[in-house]
Amino acid sequence: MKLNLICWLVLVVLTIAGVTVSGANLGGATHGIILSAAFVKSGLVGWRFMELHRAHVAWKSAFLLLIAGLTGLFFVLA
Amino acid sequence: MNPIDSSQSNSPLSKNVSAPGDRSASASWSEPPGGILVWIIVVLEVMTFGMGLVAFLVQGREHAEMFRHGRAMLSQSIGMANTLILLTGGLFMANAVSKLRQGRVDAAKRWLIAAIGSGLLFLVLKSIEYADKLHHGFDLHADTFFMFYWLLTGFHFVHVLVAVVILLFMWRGIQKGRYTSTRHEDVESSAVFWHMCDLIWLLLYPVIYLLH
Repeated sequence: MKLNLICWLVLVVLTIAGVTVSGANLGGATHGIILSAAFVKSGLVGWRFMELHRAHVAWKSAFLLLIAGLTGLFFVLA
Repeated sequence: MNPIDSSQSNSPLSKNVSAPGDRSASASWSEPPGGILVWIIVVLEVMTFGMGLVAFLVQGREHAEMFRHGRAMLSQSIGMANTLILLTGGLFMANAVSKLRQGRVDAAKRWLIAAIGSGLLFLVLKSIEYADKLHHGFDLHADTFFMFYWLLTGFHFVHVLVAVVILLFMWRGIQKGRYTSTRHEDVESSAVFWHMCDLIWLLLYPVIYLLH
């Protein structure tokens, strides 16, 4: 439960950071930071809350590839 | 030692039930946490929403001014609050599963109720946001931005609603003794579905609300 709480705290901090960056004028880096935060947050939810840390490496890899692929595609198109 | 706490039992029988640490050593590709069926759903749902967001971004490139105006009309505060609510609900659900595995049924039920409450709060806030959009004339047919907004967030809304109903059934199952520290596969599957709603929102929220 302690690890769940730490994970949640990181997720909250990243969410607030994403909103702050979105409101600030950081030029071209804004999209990269927001989508990187989204990738890390999605990965944390999968790894900790969805318990992928207990899953076979094939599921871990597939999940991370899927999230990385999507957020990467979003970055290219944004 | 709690007699029904499988994670602390050394009996041969306890090796065959799901408990933290048991699976990690012998994780099989066909047995991800929660079962393979719910993970197939997760992958398909994430890909479906992902493709929807790709279409949204492609349209955004063609109608940049319309999308800039559309994003400016969204409530950033409600969007952020809903993100934090869903993440908190995810923590509650993870704790519920953890407590159930430990055999602490009452604590598991309390965390489950908290997770259900967070889901309902999300739905209420989203409904307030929807009502505001409708009040200002931003319905499904307003423009391309709001067509995507309604379809993507509306489809997600339905997922959260379904997840809340599923968790209510899980709570009832725990209440009736159907799910215990040694028999909780359905609760784990429901938890994965619940977290999938978080996961999808974590992709929807930055793309629809934050990417100016």
